[in-house]
Amino acid sequence: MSRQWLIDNQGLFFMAPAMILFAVFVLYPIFYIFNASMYDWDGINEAIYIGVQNYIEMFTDDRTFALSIRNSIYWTFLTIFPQMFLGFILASILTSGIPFQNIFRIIFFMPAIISPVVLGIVWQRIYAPFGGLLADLGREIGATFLIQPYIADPKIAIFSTIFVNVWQWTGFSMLMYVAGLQGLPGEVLSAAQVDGANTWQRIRHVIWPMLRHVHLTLILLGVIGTLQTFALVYMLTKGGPNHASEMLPTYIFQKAFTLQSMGYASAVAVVLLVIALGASIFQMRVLGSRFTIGN
Amino acid sequence: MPRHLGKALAFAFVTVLALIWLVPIIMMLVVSLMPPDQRAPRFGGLLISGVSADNYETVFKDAEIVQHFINSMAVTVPSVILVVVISSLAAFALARLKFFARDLWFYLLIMTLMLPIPTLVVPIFQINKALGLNDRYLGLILPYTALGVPFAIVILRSFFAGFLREIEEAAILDGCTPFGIYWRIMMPVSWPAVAVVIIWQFMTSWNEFILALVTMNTNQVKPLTLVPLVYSGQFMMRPGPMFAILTLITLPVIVVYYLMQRFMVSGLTAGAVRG
Amino acid sequence: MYKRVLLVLLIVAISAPIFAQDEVVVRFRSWSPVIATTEAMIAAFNEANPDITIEPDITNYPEYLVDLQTMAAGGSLPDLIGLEPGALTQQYRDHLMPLQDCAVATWGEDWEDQFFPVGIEQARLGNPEGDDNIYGLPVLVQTINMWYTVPIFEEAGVEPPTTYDELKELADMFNAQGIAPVMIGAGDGWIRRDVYMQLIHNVAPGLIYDAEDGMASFTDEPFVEAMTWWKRLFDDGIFQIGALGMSHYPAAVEQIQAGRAAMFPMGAWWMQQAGNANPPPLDENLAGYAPFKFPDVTGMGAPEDLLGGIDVMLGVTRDSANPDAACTVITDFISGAGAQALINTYNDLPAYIGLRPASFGSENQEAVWDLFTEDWLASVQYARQLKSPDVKQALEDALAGVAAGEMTPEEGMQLVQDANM
Repeated sequence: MSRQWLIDNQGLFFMAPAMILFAVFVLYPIFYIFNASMYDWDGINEAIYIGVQNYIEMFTDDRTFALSIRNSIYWTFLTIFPQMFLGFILASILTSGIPFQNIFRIIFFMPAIISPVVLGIVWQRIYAPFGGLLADLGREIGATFLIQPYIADPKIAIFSTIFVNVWQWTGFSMLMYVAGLQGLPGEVLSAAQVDGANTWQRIRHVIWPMLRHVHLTLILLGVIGTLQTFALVYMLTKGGPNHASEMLPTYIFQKAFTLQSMGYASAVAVVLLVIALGASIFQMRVLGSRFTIGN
Repeated sequence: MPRHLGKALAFAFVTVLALIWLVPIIMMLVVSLMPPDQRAPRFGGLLISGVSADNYETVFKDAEIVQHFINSMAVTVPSVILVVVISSLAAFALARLKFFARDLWFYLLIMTLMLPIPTLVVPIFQINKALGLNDRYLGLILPYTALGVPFAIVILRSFFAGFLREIEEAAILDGCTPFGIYWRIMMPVSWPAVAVVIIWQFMTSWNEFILALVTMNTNQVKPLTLVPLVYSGQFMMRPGPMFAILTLITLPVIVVYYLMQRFMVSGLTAGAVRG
Repeated sequence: MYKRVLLVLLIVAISAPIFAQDEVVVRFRSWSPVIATTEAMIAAFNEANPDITIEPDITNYPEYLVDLQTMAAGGSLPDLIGLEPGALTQQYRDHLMPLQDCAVATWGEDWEDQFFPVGIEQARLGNPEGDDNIYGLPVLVQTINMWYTVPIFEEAGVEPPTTYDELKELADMFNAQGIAPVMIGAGDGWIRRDVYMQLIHNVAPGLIYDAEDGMASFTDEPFVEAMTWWKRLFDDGIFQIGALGMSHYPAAVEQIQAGRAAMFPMGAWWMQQAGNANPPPLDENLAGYAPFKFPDVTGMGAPEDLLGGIDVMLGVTRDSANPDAACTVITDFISGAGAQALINTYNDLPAYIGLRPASFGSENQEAVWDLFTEDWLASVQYARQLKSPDVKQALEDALAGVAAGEMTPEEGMQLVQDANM
């Protein structure tokens, strides 16, 4: 390696610490799970090489895996878009100069920084049909529709969990839009105003399209967030009832540690990784998300 | 619709929504103040009969809360500092320098964003064991840093990319090295973006519990998030102390966020300025 | 000359253990007993054994499993680990030391007779053919049964139900009063399984263990019948509304303590409520609760015996640097000062016969204790646990699916049969 090459590529020195950490704490684990996915292994005793058998079983005969995939799809659409929509509305209001807008921003963002351990335990008390907040409220004011088996009914458990996630992350979307709105050049907005466009038209035709980069970033982060979802489900529903709210990471966790199938869990993890990579590449290449905040 | 009426409506809307938003957080506080022999208060815990600080006393007496708090800090603060240093260096290179396989490095790093922690527990434990890091703060600091760097790079890279070329070129003419540009020109004005990174990294490191669980064996080094897991057998049946712990875990992140939040918006905005 | 060598060897042999004990550390990990109790046990142990330092580490059960597996994979298991009989013990069998020698050295050749029989039998649960080793020694044993809230029953002037009709009648009455007839946190798989085990024990005692061994099918009529009964408990309003979305610990327990439940499925370990600090009135000295046997829902006659088994047992790992010290600790936790400290918290029933809490706070509490130790525990024949984690999981899933109306009892049992390979 010539001296000149090193000078031309000094960026590599800047990258070095990040790359070293990456190699040790990311590349090795990926290699590890990929290798483990080829074995019938309980995690501690001798492993038996079985090739792609785990993968075959996963795709042909695993209801929980299929449920997890279904839930990931629900989760993707039902978290990302409501969060974006509500976040945008809040951001619009909270950049319009209303009183206490900074305090409102803090309140809406707060759930995003609280530990999912805390949130799971608190939301159980809200959802509990017997003695929970919503149920007691429903009884008190006669709104019996509030008394629902929110996380007890397999048909709605996943949606109740998704609701908590929306509550938690709307503030993040809001903050991104606040930043995006504040970054818009003022001339454009005043020009639209001069044109006589009303508020709705201005938002619909001028502001919304100009925030395209924020939308795309939120979608990208949302997909990744979906595939990573673990702690909230783990604390709130444990993936139940009957796996109805299972997500891939909670399923991996259960297989690996509760059901003593580390090999199988690794195979699911590999699939998760491939999906995540595929989704990101698709978004970056096809939709043009550039994976930047505000760019 | 007159403008002030629209504003009043908007204000009413966000006020109501904000109150709803706060319910779970208020609930956490209220249950933590419940008298210790009370059970199943009404409205899931929003209404209690009588207020008491006994739960906090119990928690401080039974668990070494201060020590756990120090442990959480000893893990979180270094990981925040390391993430800021490492990711800003890398982000600077990715945004401003040309070098071999630059885009490939970026995509590789981004892969890290997608790894769910449960899949990493066992291999990371083995790495830590090989490096002799189990039961040490470093055993959590390094993986948290490694997992936090990509998101930080995403944020800082777009911030750095927003700088005007001219300033950089002028600095080069003055004989500034790339490192000089990074250190003397870019970093001093990057506070807003760094604030975003700090909040994010603080929050994720502070709240993580699965890796912490397997890495930290002795009580003296366990972080605060493990306390509900360790003591839940004991406290779960007593919602008061449990929620007191939950409140104690939550307070520091809220404080950090409160201190940094005015930078946060401008940090995110600065990336957006260029449009 | 060789006499002097012998003498030196003898001195070394005698003094070595003494020197070795100088700074012996025994690392102990488990999910049970809870940390405060464990610390009390250690304090009691150290009074007689100041040379052995015990480093405890107590975590919730699910996280404990993660911890254990990670450490086993990394070859750094602690000296002492908490175990459940069956699948968990078998998974770690290769990492565990046989403990019968330790037991014989401590309690003598007839040591097995000093334990409740179910404890010894289950300690070997799942051992391969011909392997009679004891990989874990039982500390606490238990029954599973029903409890009722005494003041609620007294106020209503009723007795614990013995048949399904009585149960249903009580349920209608309590539902009308806004009291949960049978409070269950059926969101937790283990409690679903506990209730099902009692139902199938009512329908066909012992059959489920045959099915586990492949001598019967889980799709056989009795299993489906028990599953149908399970579904009826939800449909007839025997369980409180939304039971399936509630955890047994802590959600259901909190409601029970608040006096909002007339009856609830639990086990002998419920006595430990009396050992907690700041107990609510019902918990205090166990004044508010009394156990009863699961009603004869099928009308086929209730079985005389109860289901039960080992609550927690302890094993010594092969990684242990001080197996002798570990043996000292284990046996003390089972029958010595540590055990007494444990039992004093009413944590659960001792596996070692004859231990008794130092004091009782009420007559009811003492009566309950005697009922469990003298009457019920001696009759336990069948395990509360299943051998295979896959079958266990499938059964718990099926119970949730059937209760939610997602599948028929037949489909549910088919799921379990499919998992049994």
